Amino acid sequence: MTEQNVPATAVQPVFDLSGAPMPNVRTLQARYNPFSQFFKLVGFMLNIMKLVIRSGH
Amino acid sequence: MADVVILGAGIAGHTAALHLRRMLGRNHTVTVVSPNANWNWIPSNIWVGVGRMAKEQVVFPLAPIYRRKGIQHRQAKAVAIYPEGDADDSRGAVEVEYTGQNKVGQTEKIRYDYLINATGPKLKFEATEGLGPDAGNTVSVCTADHAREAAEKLAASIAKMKDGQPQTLVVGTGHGTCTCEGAAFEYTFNVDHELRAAGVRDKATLYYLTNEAALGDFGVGGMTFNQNGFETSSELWTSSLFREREVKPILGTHPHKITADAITYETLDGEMHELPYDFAMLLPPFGGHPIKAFNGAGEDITDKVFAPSGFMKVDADYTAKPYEEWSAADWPQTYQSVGYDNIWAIGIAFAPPHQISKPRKTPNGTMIAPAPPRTGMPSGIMAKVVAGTIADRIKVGPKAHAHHASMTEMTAVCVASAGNGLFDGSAAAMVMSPVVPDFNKYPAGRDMKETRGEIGLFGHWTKYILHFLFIYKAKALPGWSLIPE
Ligand SMILES: Cc1cc2nc3c(=O)[nH]c(=O)nc-3n(C[C@H](O)[C@H](O)[C@H](O)COP(=O)(O)OP(=O)(O)OC[C@H]3O[C@@H](n4cnc5c(N)ncnc54)[C@H](O)[C@@H]3O)c2cc1C
Repeated sequence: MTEQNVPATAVQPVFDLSGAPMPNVRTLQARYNPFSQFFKLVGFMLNIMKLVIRSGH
Repeated sequence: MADVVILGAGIAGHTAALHLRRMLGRNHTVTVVSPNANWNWIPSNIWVGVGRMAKEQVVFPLAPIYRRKGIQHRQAKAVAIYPEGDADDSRGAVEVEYTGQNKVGQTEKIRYDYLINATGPKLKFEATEGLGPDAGNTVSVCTADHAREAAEKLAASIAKMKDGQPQTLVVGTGHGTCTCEGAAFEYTFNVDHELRAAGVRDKATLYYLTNEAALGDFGVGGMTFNQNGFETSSELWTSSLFREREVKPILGTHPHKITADAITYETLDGEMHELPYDFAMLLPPFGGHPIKAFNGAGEDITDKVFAPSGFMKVDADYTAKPYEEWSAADWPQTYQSVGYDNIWAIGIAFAPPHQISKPRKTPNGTMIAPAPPRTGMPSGIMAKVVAGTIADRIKVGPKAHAHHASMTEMTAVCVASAGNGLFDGSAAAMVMSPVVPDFNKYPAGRDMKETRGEIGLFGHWTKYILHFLFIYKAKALPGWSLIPE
């Protein structure tokens, strides 16, 4: 059987996400808190610099 | 005096040109051949594609920079290479066809001592019937012009929703063998962000149609992270994001045909489905550019120099073997071409030895196999490494050791925007170390201490900072070489 003779259905096989964890209110607030996010930014940038320096590139 | 020719002025080619110019004296020439007059910071095309940035903010003309730096520039495309020269001259040569500089259509043979192929991907929209901007059905964000058109069509769809008409939007991959799923992921969440900002999210059904068999695969087989003392997977992490934003994922797909209002696609179980849509951004599969190769006798050796995908073969192990048998050692280290020690291929232009994500076939025999991504950071590192090799060969001598940088040792930082806004933007920031998993070195394939992912406003700021930093670097402004790749 080739794909040409398989009839197409209008049903969309959407992946079931019901088992995926939802962030709680505290997590959502933390994601947009400019102060904590600023420190995350600094930490992330320092981590990138560490990896770059370690790799020698 | 040596002549270095670089094909392509994207992230890889332009980076190599700037480093070579910095490393070599002015008695050596560096020539860049590129069909486009502009440089494009492709990662920010995502924001052009939702109307948050103008095209002019992500492109700039190359000519003034090359003039300032003493780099020769041919606005042309390479059509053939002659690694052994020809009857007139035994030095290697590239045949180019002009696309600008008032010489459109004219051809020229450029001689080289060292050649870098950094021609990036050919966007193969033709691989799926009806795919892409030229067919007039779906849009793309692969070039700045494509992204501008995508923004216009998205705005039209949002206007209809504001008039009360529900719309179906589809974002994803337009073929079972696409790569760059990260870009489709980013665009999905930016579209979601725009729909919410316009107050029409309830009028939209947003699908993410992907060739990935699992969410968070990204063509690299997914990632395992250490987070808050637990092992977690990119699948769980991205699934959470999809659920939170109410995006409907459809996994393991290969679109066969696209018309003005429907996408016909096959899933891994061999079932065919038809998805009616109003707006769709689907990425094309990538292939190498159709560049021919000829030996000294004028015989066609394209098959020897290039893989069937059109990408250039380098120092990788291309032996055909089952997916389960590949190893990290198969990946290239120096990017030197097969058979010619003065040619290299970097960035997307080199042929990867095999898939990183497991390739799958449907019961109908359709291949659904995300191709390995070669993102910006590895492309830049390869460029710098090969520039170092060439500079040493010129200055120290032809026996100088090649510099090494395998994707099985390289770290990649991927910042996938999930909405643009100084205080309401966000992005998923991921660090993957190494890009190609090495199961001999790490039980989970990657270093769990370094591989991580986090979502938040800081991710958006990071992406924004990188936008300005890399454009500054590409413009070769003071101190540019201090900015890492
Ligand atoms: C929408 C999108 C978003 C992305 N986002 C990210 C991201 O956030 N982070 C990230 O790390 N990566 C991202 N990537 C991937 C990144 O853009 C690529 O890794 C990078 O562009 C590869 O660089 P390159 O130089 O190999 O190819 P390119 O940048 O495509 O450059 C190829 C160059 O070759 C030229 N050329 C083409 N044909 C010829 C020819 N015949 N002769 C001479 N020159 C030729 C082209 O004009 C171009 O100048 C994204 C990709 C896309 C499509």
